[in-house]
Amino acid sequence: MTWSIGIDTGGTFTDVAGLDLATGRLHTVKVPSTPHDPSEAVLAGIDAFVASVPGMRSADIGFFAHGTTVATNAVIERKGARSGLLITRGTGAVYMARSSAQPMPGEMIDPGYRKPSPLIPGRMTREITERTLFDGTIETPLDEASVLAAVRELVAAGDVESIAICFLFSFMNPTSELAARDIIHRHHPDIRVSLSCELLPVIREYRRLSTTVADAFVGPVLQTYLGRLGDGLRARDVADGQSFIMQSNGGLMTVEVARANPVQTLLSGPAACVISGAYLSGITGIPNIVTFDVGGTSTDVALIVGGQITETQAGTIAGHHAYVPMNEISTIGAGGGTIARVGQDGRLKVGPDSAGASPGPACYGRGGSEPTVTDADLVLGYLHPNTFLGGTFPIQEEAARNAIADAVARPLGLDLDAAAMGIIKLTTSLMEGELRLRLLARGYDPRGFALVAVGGAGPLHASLIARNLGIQQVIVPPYPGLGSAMGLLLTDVKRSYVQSRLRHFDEAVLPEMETLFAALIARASDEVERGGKDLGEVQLERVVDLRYVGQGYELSIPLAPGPLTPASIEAARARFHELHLDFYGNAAPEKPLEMINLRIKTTTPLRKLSLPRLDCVEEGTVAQPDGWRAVYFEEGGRVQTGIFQRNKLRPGHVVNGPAIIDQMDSTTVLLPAQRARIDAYGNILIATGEGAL
Amino acid sequence: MQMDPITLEIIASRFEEIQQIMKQRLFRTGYSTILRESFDGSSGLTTADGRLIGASGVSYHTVPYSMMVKWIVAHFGLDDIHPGDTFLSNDPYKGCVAHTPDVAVVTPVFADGVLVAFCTSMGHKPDVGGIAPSTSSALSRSIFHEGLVVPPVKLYARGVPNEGVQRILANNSRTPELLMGDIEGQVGCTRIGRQLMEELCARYSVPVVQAAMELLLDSAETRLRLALAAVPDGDASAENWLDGDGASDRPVKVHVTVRKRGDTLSLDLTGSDPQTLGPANAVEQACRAAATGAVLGFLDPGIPFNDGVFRAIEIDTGEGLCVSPRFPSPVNSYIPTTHILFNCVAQALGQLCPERAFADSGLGCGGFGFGYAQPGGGPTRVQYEVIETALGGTSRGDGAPMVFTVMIFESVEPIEIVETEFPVRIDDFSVRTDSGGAGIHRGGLGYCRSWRVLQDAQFSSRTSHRRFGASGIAGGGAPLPSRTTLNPGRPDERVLNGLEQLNLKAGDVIRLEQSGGGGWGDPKDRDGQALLDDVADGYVSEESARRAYGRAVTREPSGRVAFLRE
Repeated sequence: MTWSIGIDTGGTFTDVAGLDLATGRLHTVKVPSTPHDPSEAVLAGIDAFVASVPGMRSADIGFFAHGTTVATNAVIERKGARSGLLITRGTGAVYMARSSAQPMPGEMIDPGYRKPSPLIPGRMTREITERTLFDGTIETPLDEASVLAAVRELVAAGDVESIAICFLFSFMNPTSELAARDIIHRHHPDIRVSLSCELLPVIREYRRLSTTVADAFVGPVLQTYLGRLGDGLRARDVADGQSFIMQSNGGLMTVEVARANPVQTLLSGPAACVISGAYLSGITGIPNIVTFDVGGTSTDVALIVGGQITETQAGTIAGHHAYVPMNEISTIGAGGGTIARVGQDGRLKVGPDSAGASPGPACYGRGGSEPTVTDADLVLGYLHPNTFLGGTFPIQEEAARNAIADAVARPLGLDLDAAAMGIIKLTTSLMEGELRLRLLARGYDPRGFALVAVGGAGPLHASLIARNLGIQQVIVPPYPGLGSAMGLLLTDVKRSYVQSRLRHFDEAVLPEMETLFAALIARASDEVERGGKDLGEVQLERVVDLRYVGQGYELSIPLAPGPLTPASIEAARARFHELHLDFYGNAAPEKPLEMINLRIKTTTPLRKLSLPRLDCVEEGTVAQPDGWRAVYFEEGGRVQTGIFQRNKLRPGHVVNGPAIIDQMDSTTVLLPAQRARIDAYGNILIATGEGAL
Repeated sequence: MQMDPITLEIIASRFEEIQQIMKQRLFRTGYSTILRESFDGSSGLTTADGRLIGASGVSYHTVPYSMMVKWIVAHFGLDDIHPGDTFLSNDPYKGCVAHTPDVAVVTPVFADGVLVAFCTSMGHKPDVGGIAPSTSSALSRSIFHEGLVVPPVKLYARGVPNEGVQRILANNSRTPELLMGDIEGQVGCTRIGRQLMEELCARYSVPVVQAAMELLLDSAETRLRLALAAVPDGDASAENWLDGDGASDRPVKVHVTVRKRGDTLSLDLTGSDPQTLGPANAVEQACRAAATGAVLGFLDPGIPFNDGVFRAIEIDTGEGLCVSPRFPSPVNSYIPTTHILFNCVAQALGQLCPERAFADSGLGCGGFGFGYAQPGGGPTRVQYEVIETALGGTSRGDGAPMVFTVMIFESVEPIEIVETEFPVRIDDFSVRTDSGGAGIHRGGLGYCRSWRVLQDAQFSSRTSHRRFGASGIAGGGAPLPSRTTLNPGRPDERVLNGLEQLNLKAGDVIRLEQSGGGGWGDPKDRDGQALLDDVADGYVSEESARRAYGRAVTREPSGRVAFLRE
């Protein structure tokens, strides 16, 4: 018996999903999270999982993948390492000035506008005499004595565990940063050093600085965590050499690589969920997907286009910037616990504040008196006290009704159902807005996408949102509440390496591209070999970031495999114009291009989970409801609606809306006139019907 | 028309989303560093009769959008505005932009044959001609010195580009590629907005969409009136001075009297000085935008900035004053004038409502332009940088450091971008110690920045306040004033005015030391640990800790600081 397991640490629960490689059987376990040391819950989850499978031993786990928020929480709670920062003399304002941010209307006139205080303060920062120029020429060599003196001061002042180094133009010539690191290593071998030229060799000093600072700040914390986790795994004989950590880009890296690249885990929290979406894209044959992950306080959305997850190179945590490759995920501050109220101006508002898990929605009866989205779901009949979380969690409909009546229905002069429906419509409208923004700002038409509904509350509202956006199909996977843990079993080892070089993009640049790609491949090869593998087992992709000369933002263009020739340049140019037209609605084929960055992406394929095909009924068999109740819908008001148990639905079944499909971790709503079928993998596929944009 | 409140609410949220989509498109397609690195641009929506529904991005562009659309409707007439048209203007007197580098693009939206709305966009351009690279110059004495001035014209008529206009625009800029690239991005973004508005009308019908627009305006009015009603009635005045107007060193006064009655407010700017010979004038729409922004920022920054708020605020800018110049007065350096106007309005309101009062933001925001002739005679390359200060302390905390304070955002250009793209070296970019006014909550810190040009260059300084500065409040101290120096430490060292136009030689240095924000509350009462941290971080000097905060601090060789036993 050999198992692959994925473990995702959430705020409340730690989810374990395991795949029996021999039979393809999927088994899941939930244990409470342990925020003081999340590795306790991970190890407890392993033990609970093993105990729940008869005859299984922990040594039967041959593959272990884990998504952790340890680094993220260290930044949010400002509980990172004692860190110092070395910068080029005369660049002390870079960190405080930060980089341009698109102004938000309310903030622009707010006298109380704030910037987050730096993760490494001025008193732990030292300026070093050295200067490299834009073309990589060293104008002033590194003053080695000043490095040593600075580090001694930082040790004396703050007993630093880690030091970040960010010198100007180190992406053009890393000599000074490397030399500074060597000096620190020689004299203080215990101090962890983060170099901007290694982490992010790209132009714009603030981007390198903030990313390098984040790496130094979280590095020792993550290392300690991974150390504890590794001890626990070894003690259980788990997955020797096959233990992986999720990165922000949705790929895995070995625990060893993770120790060296902590900043890559910073934004990995929601990444795994997106992979589940990409996987569903593969098995359903639907190339374009929006993943829609609704939790208690927020909703994450991400795009999969042509089967590919959309990547971005920049993320923010509590106002701190990290420029690392990551799945592009946007978060809307609306979820099941979001509070609705009527403002002084007489307008209904939902959010952004949430009742959270405590006191929680009014219907939890834990002291929450303000109405939430979950209360509205209950009043309208989408949720029911008998079936909420499988009936294990008692909720009070009366409390929900009272809260909505007092706070919304009466002030707006609406009846209770209309008020509850108003809360749902306004909340879903905010979610729709974010989806439309993501899609249209890039020139995508929602009608060409399917919506994958995950998270406990995703399938409740997905059919309404899809219909309003003109999205034709909703996919509800078999375990909507386990998207992240499943995603860990569905991905590959993925790494990327980048190097900035501003050049006109034409044939003349070919020799330099060859050299730079060769250097990037050498780095990749080195890391692969240290992981005990050979570069031959790895898929390698070369990418070049291009823009029109003078433009500020670049598009990433993959290069075809094979030797670089003038034809490769021509093909990349053509692809760039095409993509620019897609994204921005215009292209200028006559204009020259410039190259900003070169990237290498490596993928080491892993054996993945595949959902088993299930026993089916005859295609088109209309499923019979297990019960009925009156449920309120926007059109038609209260109608008798069939209630179905998800675990009784088989591939081939058809469900006609209106319908409610209950399962332990979620509830799926079908609107009147919508129709769903169950596919061979047990996914619910809802045809949402005609919709306008 | 009777509408259910939920539907109206949903459409209202769509308007905000459409502005966001337009803005994102604009910034991502921008060519110039001003647009793509500094985000000096915006997008907006107005009703068919030019009332502002909202703007996303730079808040100064709000009132200009409204006035520009009103001008277009009045002068073209409804029978000459058609689907597929797009208008363009950079005329401060007709198109109603703030100054000529701001090029506005306006696209009408039709549904069911009815004109429903206008989608608008504005972006600051690196150059539209004029006496000096980057167009804005202290030497300007007339709008005719401020580059090509285009009244509202059709850039596209029924979808067909007006190539004549395009050629005239390109021909009159030192940076035609950037100018036309940015303009096309603006056209693209208003077209996206138009498409989304058309779809909204198709789904909900024109009358319902129009009703939602009215709801937004009504609710902004209601929120503002409620906020005003909570402020005690009374009159208050505040004034401040510009160092000069670029033509002379005679100070220029901006004066505000606020009169608060019930749930209305009137702002009287007629005590301000007459219009100036140099380009320090601020056109009326820029003043209205700044003054209104100050009112909303003071009362509640969450109140939507749309036409509804003007039902509760009356603004008298007078005529022929520095806040209401007559054609053809020069207006390119309007930012400092509107900045002190913003501060004066907030100060006056602070007198009526001291518990909300906040200290002045640092004065001396603006822009620097460097023009480099290309070897071999190509087009001049124009480097434009936004110059920032910092916010003042508030009852809630220290002021934010290093922001563009007039419309708060972060926008200092990366050293590596600047040095890679232009023949210049940034020798210093550092925190300016003691620049923030002392206080319980001190002002945010300004910065120092030195540019060393590597080849001869034309330099325009379009800033202010090298002599007059900002104030603290409630016992808080004033920040250090801003200062610009040519070639510091050299025999030819010279302290520059805010408005200057110079020819630099290769090797010359421009050194900038920017003001921080004013302090809030008596500095003697500042939290001890906060002060120690400030000294340790280099934000406050030991001398200033002693002098301004009244605490003696020692610094150990390790950098650790502690209070000296008294």
